[in-house]
Amino acid sequence: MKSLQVTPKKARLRNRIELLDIIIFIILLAITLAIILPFLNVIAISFSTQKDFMDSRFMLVPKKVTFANYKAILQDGRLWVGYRTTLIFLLIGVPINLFLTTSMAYGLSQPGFPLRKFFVYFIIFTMMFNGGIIPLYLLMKQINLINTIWSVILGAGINSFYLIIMRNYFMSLPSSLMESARLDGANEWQILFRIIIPISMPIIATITLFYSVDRWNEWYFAMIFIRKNELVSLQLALRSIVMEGQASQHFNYTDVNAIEFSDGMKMGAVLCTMLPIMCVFPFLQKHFVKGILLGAIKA
Amino acid sequence: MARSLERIKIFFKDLWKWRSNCIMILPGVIWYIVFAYIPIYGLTLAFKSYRANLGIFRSPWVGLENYVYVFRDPAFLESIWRTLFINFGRILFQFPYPIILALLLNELRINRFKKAIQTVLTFPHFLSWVIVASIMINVLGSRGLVNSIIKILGGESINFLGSEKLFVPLLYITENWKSGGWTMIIYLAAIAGIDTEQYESAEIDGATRLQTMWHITLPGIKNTIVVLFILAVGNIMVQGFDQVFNLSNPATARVAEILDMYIYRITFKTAADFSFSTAVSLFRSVINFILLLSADRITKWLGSEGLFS
Amino acid sequence: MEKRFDGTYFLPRARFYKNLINDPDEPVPNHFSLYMRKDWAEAVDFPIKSTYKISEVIEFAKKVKESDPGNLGDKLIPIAQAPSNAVRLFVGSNSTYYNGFYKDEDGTYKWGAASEETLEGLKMYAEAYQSGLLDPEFYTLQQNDDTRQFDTQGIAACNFGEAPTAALPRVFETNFQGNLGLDPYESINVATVLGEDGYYHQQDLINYWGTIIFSPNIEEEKFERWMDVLEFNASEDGSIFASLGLKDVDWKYDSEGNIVSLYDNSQQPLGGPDGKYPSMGYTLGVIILHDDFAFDNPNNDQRLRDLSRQLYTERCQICTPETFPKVDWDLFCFDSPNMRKVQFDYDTELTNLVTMGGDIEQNWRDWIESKMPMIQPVLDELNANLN
Repeated sequence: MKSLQVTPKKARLRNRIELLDIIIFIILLAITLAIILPFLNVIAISFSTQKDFMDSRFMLVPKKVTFANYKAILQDGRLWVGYRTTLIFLLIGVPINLFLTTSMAYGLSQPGFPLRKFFVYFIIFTMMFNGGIIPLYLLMKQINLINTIWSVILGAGINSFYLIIMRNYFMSLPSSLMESARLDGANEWQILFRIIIPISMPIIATITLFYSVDRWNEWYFAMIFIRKNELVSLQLALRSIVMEGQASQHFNYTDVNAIEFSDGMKMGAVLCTMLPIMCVFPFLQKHFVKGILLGAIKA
Repeated sequence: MARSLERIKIFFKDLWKWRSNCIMILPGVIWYIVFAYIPIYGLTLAFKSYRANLGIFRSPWVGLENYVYVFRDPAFLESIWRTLFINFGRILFQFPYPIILALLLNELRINRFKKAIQTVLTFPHFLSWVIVASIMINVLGSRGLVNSIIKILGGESINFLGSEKLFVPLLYITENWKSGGWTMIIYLAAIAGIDTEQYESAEIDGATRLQTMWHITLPGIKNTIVVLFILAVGNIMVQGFDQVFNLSNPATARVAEILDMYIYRITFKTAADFSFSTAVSLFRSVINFILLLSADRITKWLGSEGLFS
Repeated sequence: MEKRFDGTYFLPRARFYKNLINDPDEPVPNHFSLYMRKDWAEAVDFPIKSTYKISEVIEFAKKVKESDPGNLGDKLIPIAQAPSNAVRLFVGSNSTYYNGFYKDEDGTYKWGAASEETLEGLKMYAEAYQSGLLDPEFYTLQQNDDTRQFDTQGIAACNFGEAPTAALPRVFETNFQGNLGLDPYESINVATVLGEDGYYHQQDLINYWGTIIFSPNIEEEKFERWMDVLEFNASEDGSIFASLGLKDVDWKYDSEGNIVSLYDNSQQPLGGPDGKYPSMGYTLGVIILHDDFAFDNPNNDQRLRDLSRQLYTERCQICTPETFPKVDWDLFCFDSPNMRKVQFDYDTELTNLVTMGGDIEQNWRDWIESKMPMIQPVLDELNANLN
C-alpha cells in the first residue's frame, strides 16, 4: 500500500491545495458516491417492509427497521445450501488450484529445464483456443463427474493467466538461491516448499485471493454441470431467489408452500452473499496490491 | 543421423537431470491434457453429427453440414457483428476509464481520502455479476435510485433497462462501475514504478502538473497499457457473457445477443444440438485467435514488446 | 397413434378421470385464467363475466387506469404480466398455434407464428404496452412477480396466470386475504380469455412431465408388476394414494367419509425431490391429473372447486375443433435436424417485437422474414413426408 502512496516529489515541494485538486477531488468523490449509494440503497431495502418499499424505492435508510426479510431468507434454506456448496468449492478447490498452479509454475520457471518453452506454448495455446462448454460438458458426462462437486472443482483446476503471473514471479527470483540449495543436496520439492514458497508469500497470497474469489463467484460451471438441488452454488441460489422469484413446485399443487420473495428479501439475499467478501476485503486489499506490483505486469 | 541421435541423447540426459521438474509439472500437464486439450479435440464435433450413444469419438462425420445450418440463421451472423461492435466499443469507451481514474487518483493530494476512495472503487470487482446485476436492476429501474434523483432534479425518468439504444452504453458503464477501480490499481502500480527523478527534473524545468502527467506519467505506464490492450483485444469474442446474461431481459434480447448468448440460447434454451453449438463455438475461437495474433503483431510493429515475446 | 408406433406403447396423456370434463379422447383444457379485481370492475361499471375477449380485457384495464378505483396513483398496474404469460394472454388466447406448426384447412403445413391471428394478438399486445396498461418495466419481471403484484401487493387490476384448482386457495386466501385483508370472494373474478373470434384457443395438453420407458428386454414379472402399479394408480384409491400418501398415516376418512389430511406439509413437502416420498408425483402420479383430485379435496373451499369446474367446462364448450384441436400425432412425433433448429424462445422473441418500438406489423414481418430461411426447409419436409 505504501508504495502506491508515494506522491510525486514535487507535491512535497509545493504542498498548497490548488483549484485542480478540488476539481479532482469532486470528480473522484462523485464516482465513489456512485458506488456507495447503490449499496446503501440495497441495505436500506433489505431492512424495509414491502409497503415502505412500494411507497418509495429511493431510500438510503429504512423508514422502519424490520428483520422479517432476513428471517424469511434463513427459513427458505436455499442460501444455506448455497453456502455449504460454495464452502466446499473453496476448501477443496482452492488448495487443488494452488497445488496445480504453483508446482507447474515453479517447474516451468527453471531456466535449464529442457521442455520449458514447449510447455509454455502448450499453456498459451489453451488461452487463445478452447473447446468451449459443450465438449467440456460431454467430457464431464463421460467421466461421470456431472452432478458432483468435482466437475466444478476440476473443470476450473488451473487458470492459465494466474499460472503465467506466478511463473513470471518465480523467474524474477535470483537463481543463485536455488543453485546453492541444489548444491546442498536439496531436491526440487524441498526447494519449492522450503525456499521458494516462503519468499513468494505476496504472490501466493494474491493468487490465493484470486482463486478464492473465483470459486466464491462460481456459477456458470455450477449451473451447467450440477443439476441437483442439494448442490446448488451460492451464486445460483442467489440467482434463483433474485431472478426467478420462487421455484414453483411443478408436480403437485396441493403441496405448494413456497415462500414468495419480496424485494426486501431479494436485496437481503444479495447482502448475505456479499457479506463475507465485504468483511474480508479490507484486510486483503494490501496483499493483492503488493502482488500486482510484484508479479502481474512485466513493465 | 549420428548427430541428431547425439542430440536426442543429450536431450534425454538433460531431461533425466530435471526429472523432478518433470514430475512437478506432471499434475498440471495432465490437467491441461484432460480438461483443455480433450475438449479442444471435442471441437471436431463441429464436423460430426453428435449421437449420445456413440460419444464424441465415434459419432459420424458430416463434413460442413453443420455450417450449412449455421449460416442459414441470420441471427448467427448478426450476433458476430454485434459481438464485434459491442466489444470494440469497449476498447473505445471502457478501456480508457481506468487509466483516467489512475491518473486522477495519482494527482489527488488529499491523502486522507486517497486510500478510502481506492478501497471503495476496487470493491465491486469482487462481486459476481449476479449480485451486481440485481443491484443495477434495482438502482436503474423506473422508480429506482437514479430515476428518483433525476425526477427530484426535475427531469423525465429514463428507461435504462428496457431500451435497446441504452443497453450497450449501460454495459460499458456497469462494467466500469464494477471493475474500473480494479484495473485502476494495476495502472497505479505501474505509476508507482516510475522513476521519481523524472518528476524532479520536470519540477526544475517548471512543468505544470498537466504537462508532467502527459509527458512523464502517461509514457511511464505505456507498457502496461499495451499489455492490457492486447488482452482486451484478445477478449473481444469471449468477453461479457456473464454481464450480458445477467443484465439483459426480453426487451433488450435482440441487442444483447452477442455470440456467447447465441451459443447459450441454441444450446440450453431450445432443443440442444451439440454439434451445431460446437460448430458455432469453433467459429468463435478461430476469429478470436486471429484477432489476438493481429493485436500482438500490431503492437510489436508499433515498437512495443508483444504479450508473448 | 397406433398406426405410427405399431401398437399402443405409451400413454402420454394424464387425464381428468372422476370429474370428467369432456370425453376421454377430447383435448384437455388448460388451467391458465384471468384473475381480475371484481370490486374495481364494479366501481368502473364493467360487466362481470366468466369469459372475456382480449380486447375486453384491454378495455377493462383502460377504464381502471382512467378512474383508478383503488387510489393507487402511479403504482397502479392495469395488467400485471411478465413476458411469458403476456404472450400467452395476448397472442396465445388469439392464435392457437402461435408457437409451432400446424396443418391448415387446405391440408398443407404452416408456421403458426406467421398467421394473421398471431399478428392480431401481437397488435393487442403492443397496444397494451404502448398505452401503459402493462408495468412499464414488465420485461424485468420474473415468473411469479406478476401474480404477486395482483394477489399480494394489490396494485394490479388483472393478471393472466396459472390457476389450477389446487392453487386457487393460495391465491384467494393465503395471498389475497392474508395480505390485503379483503374478502377474496367479493374482490376477485376468475375468467377465461377468448380470442377475438369469440372462441377459446388452446392446443391439447400433452401434459406429461415424465415418461416411463420400458426396456424391450424387461422380465415378464416386472412388467406385469409395473402394469399393476399403473392400473392401481388409475383407480380412485390409487389416485388418492398418489395425491395424499398412505391411508391412516398421511390421511384418513372422517366419520362422514370425507378425506382428512394428517400430514403437515409445512415442514417437508409430501412428494418431489425433497419430499417424504421422492417418487411421488413423477413416477406414480402421471396417470390421473392431480387437478382431478383437487376438485374433491375437502381442504379447498367449495366455491373455488365449483368455479374451477365451471371454467374448465366452459372452455370445452366455447371452442371449435380448429381453435381447440386434438393432437396431430404425426406432427408431434416428427423429428429432423432442420426441425430441431426451429424451436425458438417465442416468449422472448415476441415480447421483443413489441418492446422494440416502431410499427408492430413491420417488426413482425421483418422477424418472419429473418426466420424463414430456417422455417421453410421444415415446412418442405413436413409437407413432403406427412402428406
